[in-house]
Amino acid sequence: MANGSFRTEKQSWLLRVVDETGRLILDFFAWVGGLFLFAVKSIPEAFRPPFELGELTRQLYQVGWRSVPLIAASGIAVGAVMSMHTRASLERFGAEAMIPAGLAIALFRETGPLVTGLLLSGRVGASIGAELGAMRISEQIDALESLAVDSFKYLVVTRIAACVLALPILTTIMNFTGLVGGFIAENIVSGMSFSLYFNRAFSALQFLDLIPSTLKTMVFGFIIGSVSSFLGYNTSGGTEGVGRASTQSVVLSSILLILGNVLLVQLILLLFPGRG
Amino acid sequence: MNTPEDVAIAFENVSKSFGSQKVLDQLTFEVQAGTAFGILGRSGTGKSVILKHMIGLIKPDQGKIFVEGRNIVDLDRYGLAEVRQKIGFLFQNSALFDSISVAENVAFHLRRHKKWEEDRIREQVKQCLASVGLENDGEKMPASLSGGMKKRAGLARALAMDPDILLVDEPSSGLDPVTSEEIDNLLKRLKSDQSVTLVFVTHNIVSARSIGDELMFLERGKIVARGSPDQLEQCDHPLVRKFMHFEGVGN
Repeated sequence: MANGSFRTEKQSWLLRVVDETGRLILDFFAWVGGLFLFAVKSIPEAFRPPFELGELTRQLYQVGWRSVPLIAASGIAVGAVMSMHTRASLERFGAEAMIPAGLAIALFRETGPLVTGLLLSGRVGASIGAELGAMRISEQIDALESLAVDSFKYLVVTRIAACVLALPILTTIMNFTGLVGGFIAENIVSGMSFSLYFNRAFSALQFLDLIPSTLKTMVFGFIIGSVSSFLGYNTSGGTEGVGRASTQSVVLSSILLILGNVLLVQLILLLFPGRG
Repeated sequence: MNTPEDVAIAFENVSKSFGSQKVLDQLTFEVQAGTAFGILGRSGTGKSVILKHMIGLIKPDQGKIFVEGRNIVDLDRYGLAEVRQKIGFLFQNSALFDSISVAENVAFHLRRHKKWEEDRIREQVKQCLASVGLENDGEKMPASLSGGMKKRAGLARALAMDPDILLVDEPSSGLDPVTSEEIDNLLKRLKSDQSVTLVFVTHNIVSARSIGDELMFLERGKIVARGSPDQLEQCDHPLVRKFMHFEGVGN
């Protein structure tokens, strides 16, 4: 009798675990599906009038222009550090002359786009998540709708579009300031001249090194914009919810950006062999 | 007998649940055009949810909602936007856009929906702000306003498009009695001067008596009493009696 009761208890405990796990999995897929539909919806909406050019300009200023100091400063630092590391390795083989070219290829193909994407997901992702979250809980999004304004187009599409447009430009800034940082480091150590340094750097670069890797940052921008807008736009749970949306925006967009980068590099290698 | 033109808003068997909680249960009522209609009841009885249904911010699980004769439940976003341009909504916490000034808040939808010259928009904004006593505060940012000023700024924004219908959620919540009375007087003046249909949600029975032509009491998503303020004074329903007596003594 006691044994039977124990078995029933164990079975009901197992059922609860299975039930709870199943619910969590279903919730997760519902959430992922919601995010996917939210992001996909923004694409046709971006090409449907009204185009909200005023808000788009404001977001380009916020996302793009106001990120320039961060990107430029980081570019110089990243370039300088990469140059120092490259020198330490190449010096052993007497190949210091290759430093500018190596640095340029590394920056333009991978480091520049990825670092810019990660920096933007921190600065802009958190800001979009928090701003839209605060607007949601203070009913400003409802207020927009009550004034016959499509809040999705006005708030979400403009932010995603600003991220998509700003990322390639910011990546280009990161790449060139990275080269400047590398030059400063190299100039201090070896006294290499500006013209020689940049001559060597660009001699190794081809146009096809620049285009795919810079354009892939548009996908990074789409990821950052849509993930952070999704989390902010659907915030619930008061001020705690706003904080959660902000943090999750950074974490999730960074993870998706890194994972997306793997796929994009594969795609670029497939389309442009040897230029990942 | 009311003709359809006399009815500004009509609910027909409207039900709404959030999760397992039924907030509105088969609600049917009409709001006559040009009148002030007050919705009263305890917290959590679905008063604000009714207002949000009236402007299409929430869709009912079942039932029909007519605004000036159009069933807004079936409207697409363009149709809904047309209806919304005829409705002003004052949110409980005003919901002003905090990144732009008070005047920009009031001008926001004018710039989008009216093909007016900038001078005319400025004039309309000035008039709206003057009508709520904020003629000198247009350049201020929402964060620098007091609670009462935010309410008035929200009201100015709601009035900017000269709406046929004005929805007001808790006009006096969180305000001192003097400011609360000012807002009540403002709403009464709007109703008489501009003949808008006013639908308001309140806990304050003094405000409700002062503003409302017709009042409706809600309890657990159902209508428990409806009529003029004088009729409700005579109502036998225990909740209505308790509510009115308590508030009457309190004030």
